[in-house]
Amino acid sequence: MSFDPELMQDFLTESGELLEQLDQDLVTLESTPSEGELVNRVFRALHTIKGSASFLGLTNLVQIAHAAETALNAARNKVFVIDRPAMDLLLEGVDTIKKQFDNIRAGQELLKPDKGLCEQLIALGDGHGAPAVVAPAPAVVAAVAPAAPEAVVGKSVVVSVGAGQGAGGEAFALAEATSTPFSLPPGKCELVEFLVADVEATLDQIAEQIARLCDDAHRSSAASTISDLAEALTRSVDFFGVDPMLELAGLLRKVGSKGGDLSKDEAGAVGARAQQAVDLLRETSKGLAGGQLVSRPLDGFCRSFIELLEAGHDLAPMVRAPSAAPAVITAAVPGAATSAATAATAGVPASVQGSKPEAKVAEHEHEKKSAASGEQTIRVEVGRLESLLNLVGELVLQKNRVSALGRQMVSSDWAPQEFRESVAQANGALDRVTADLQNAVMKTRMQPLEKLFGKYPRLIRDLARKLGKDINLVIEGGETEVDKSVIEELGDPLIHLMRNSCDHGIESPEARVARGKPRTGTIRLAASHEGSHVQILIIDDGKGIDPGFIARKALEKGVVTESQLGTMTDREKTLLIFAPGFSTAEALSDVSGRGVGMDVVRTNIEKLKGSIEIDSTPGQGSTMRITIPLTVAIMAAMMVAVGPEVYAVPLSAITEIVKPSEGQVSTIRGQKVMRLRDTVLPLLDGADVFKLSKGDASERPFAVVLSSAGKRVGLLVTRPVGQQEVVIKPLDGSIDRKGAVSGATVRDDGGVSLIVDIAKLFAALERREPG
Amino acid sequence: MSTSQQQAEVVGGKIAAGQTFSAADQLQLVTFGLGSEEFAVDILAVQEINRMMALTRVPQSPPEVEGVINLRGKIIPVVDLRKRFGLPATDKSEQSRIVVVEVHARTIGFIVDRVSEVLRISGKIVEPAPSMVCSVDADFIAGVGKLEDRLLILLDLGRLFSVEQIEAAKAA
Repeated sequence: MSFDPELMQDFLTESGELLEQLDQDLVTLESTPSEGELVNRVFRALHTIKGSASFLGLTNLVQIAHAAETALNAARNKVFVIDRPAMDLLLEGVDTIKKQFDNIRAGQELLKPDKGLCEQLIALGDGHGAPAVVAPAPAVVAAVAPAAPEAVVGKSVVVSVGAGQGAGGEAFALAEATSTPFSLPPGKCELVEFLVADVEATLDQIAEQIARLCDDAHRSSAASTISDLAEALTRSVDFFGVDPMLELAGLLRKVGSKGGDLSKDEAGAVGARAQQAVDLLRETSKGLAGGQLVSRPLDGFCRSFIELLEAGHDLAPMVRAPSAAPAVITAAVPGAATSAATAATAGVPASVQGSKPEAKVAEHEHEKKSAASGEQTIRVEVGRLESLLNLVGELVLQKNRVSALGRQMVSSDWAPQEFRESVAQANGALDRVTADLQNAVMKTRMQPLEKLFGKYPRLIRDLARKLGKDINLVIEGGETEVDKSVIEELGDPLIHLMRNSCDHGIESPEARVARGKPRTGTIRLAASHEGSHVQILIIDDGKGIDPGFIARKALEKGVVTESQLGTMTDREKTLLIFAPGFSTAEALSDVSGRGVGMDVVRTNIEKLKGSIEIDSTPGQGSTMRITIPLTVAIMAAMMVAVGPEVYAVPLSAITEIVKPSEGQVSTIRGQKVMRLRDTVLPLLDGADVFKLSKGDASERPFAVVLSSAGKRVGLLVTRPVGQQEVVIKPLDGSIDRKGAVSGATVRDDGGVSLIVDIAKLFAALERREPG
Repeated sequence: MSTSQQQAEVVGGKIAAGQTFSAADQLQLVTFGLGSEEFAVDILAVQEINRMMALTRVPQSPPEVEGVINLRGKIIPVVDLRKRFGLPATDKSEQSRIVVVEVHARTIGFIVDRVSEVLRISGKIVEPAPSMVCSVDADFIAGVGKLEDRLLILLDLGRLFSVEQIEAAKAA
């Protein structure tokens, strides 16, 4: 692709976001097909994607987007109601667009979109009767000039609402049009037809809104719609690279942005000009379709139009404008303006008038607010945030050292009392500020879980259809924020759990009815803050997990032995689904059931220093409870010394630290174990784990009791050093990761401590056990 | 940014094995000693030179990786160059230094017996490496600089710390 990679990147980011939203909106739309605003939003998103794609000459992408857009346009005009088959088609269309995006990202050529799909989508729009967009009011097209004086009179009077169909204002006389042959580069030729049709459809809509502009009640909504439409228009017109068209579209955008503030008379004048601009654009785009570039000198028109718009509430310049421009007024059809004036004299009940401006003001404020919030976010490269976080971490370290020195000084007596007090105060302030700073920087990396959750309605819908089940997904707490890296790591495990709930949890509608449950199963996905952790619940009202069934399956797969099962509680049996190589799917499906699922889910969640638990009542459903820290960049850890080295052990994995007496420790088959209350705890020597020189075992008298997925182990260390919040840093790739460390951190004293990888530690224990 | 500078950032200096140097090339080098031999690397690749500091050993890391250090918040591996070259290990002394370089967009430190000086030499006194010049594998040598009184072995950092080399070291 020969395009500026930066442009392409922008396109991918922006349109990518739109696509994500699209998925969500479409699924919502399926359940509420009559939601007009939603249809509009979906339509606009598709339109924007199409516009940008056409600008970049991505023909294949434009075709499919166009097809989907056509179908939606029909839905928008209530030509047909979006039902399931229609939604299937639409979603397939969106999927195709997504695939094209993936291809672009991978730097591959775009695939030709499935012709059948495009045709079906277009047929959806056309087949049910073409969506004849309401024709623009013809009266506006042939707007009038001599009405201006009356309009000035009318301004002083309260203007009526009823005369909305007409528009007062003068048309600008235009010079003769000239035609020259016009051709686009070969890549773009195929798109001309689409784009012309697209531009025309947009123009029709704009014309419709221009007519509404004269109506006091609808002015601001019409203006904002024009603004949107003109924005889309600009994108489409961009494709042709014809400057006058861009200029005209720009004028229409201005109309949109200023339109809301116009008085009735001004609106009439502006409306007439806008309509003229629309007509000019139509003329040009028609010409382009026929390979001709129709052009007229537009300088005068544009200048006077801008003057007219900038004039704001002062009507005078508007009247002067035509004479300032070197042109002759040719059209003068009385009608609209006169009717406006007549209506003005007729007057309108005061009460109605009184309420309107207020509503208008409120609406304006709302718009202004949303415009302002749009400017308050900026895109920042993740790398920059990361380095900022790094620096803050470093600052905290240095602060700790300075604080320590300060404390020493405060407790010594060589400095005067007053001085020591100031140092203590400054120290305290420094502490608070750095802590706040660290928090603030962490917050910049926080993102709402919504980002993940938004994808699931679509997922569940597709799964439910595939499995022939009725499933309702309820999402709560999507606004809960977690660190960006957590979001990235959490995606796969969550999808897997949701799939499991659909596949294994929720029963078929018939089975549900037979059990006296509602036909439609419900999966609840709920997130909430729990202290420094986030809890995510996945609750289904399906058949639950039967421990006996799990146990039998586990036995079949050789995950456990008969004797092991004998000692297991129901709870432990349920937890067997997390064992490697366990899969309960009766038939392997592409939904879930490759037998790696739950094992991987658990590992991934533990990688995040989180945990997963299962509660299940057979016949009533199950609850998966995932607890994860807010961030993976900072972790609460227990620092423990093993010989000369200090290691950081994730606090979340530690249940207790004990100092076993000699009598408690014994050896079973050459492996050290200890009796901890009523249980036997296997012990791992820290010196073995970290490959340190062994020395005397009595040098490591403390056992740090760690637990993971129902298993426990005691790690023998020299002594616990203390609890600390550690900033997790990655180890260089050249360092082998076979060792039981997951990263490193910098201690208060500037030294480096390795972070113990609990999962690998347990893996080491398992390797040891059979041997 | 010129291409040569970019390259320097990526592969660790513009001194590469198999390259011939002409009189027009002005080389600015950091020289250091290992045992009785003197080595040099391109100054552009060198980020800083530190005194020895406490290293944290990493279990099951490649043998020549001596450990990791904290370089202003970044954890970087430190390689013992003696081990890398298969020279007999010696105790670290007051003169020992950790030279921090950027190679292949990674930051790596290596321990040398001593750092001598920063030197500017002309390319015309640099000759391609003879196959059996010293204890070091000829693959890592970009050339030999003939100074008046001594020889200077120019190291190709890109190769010395290439990903394959590290993999190979791991496998061994």
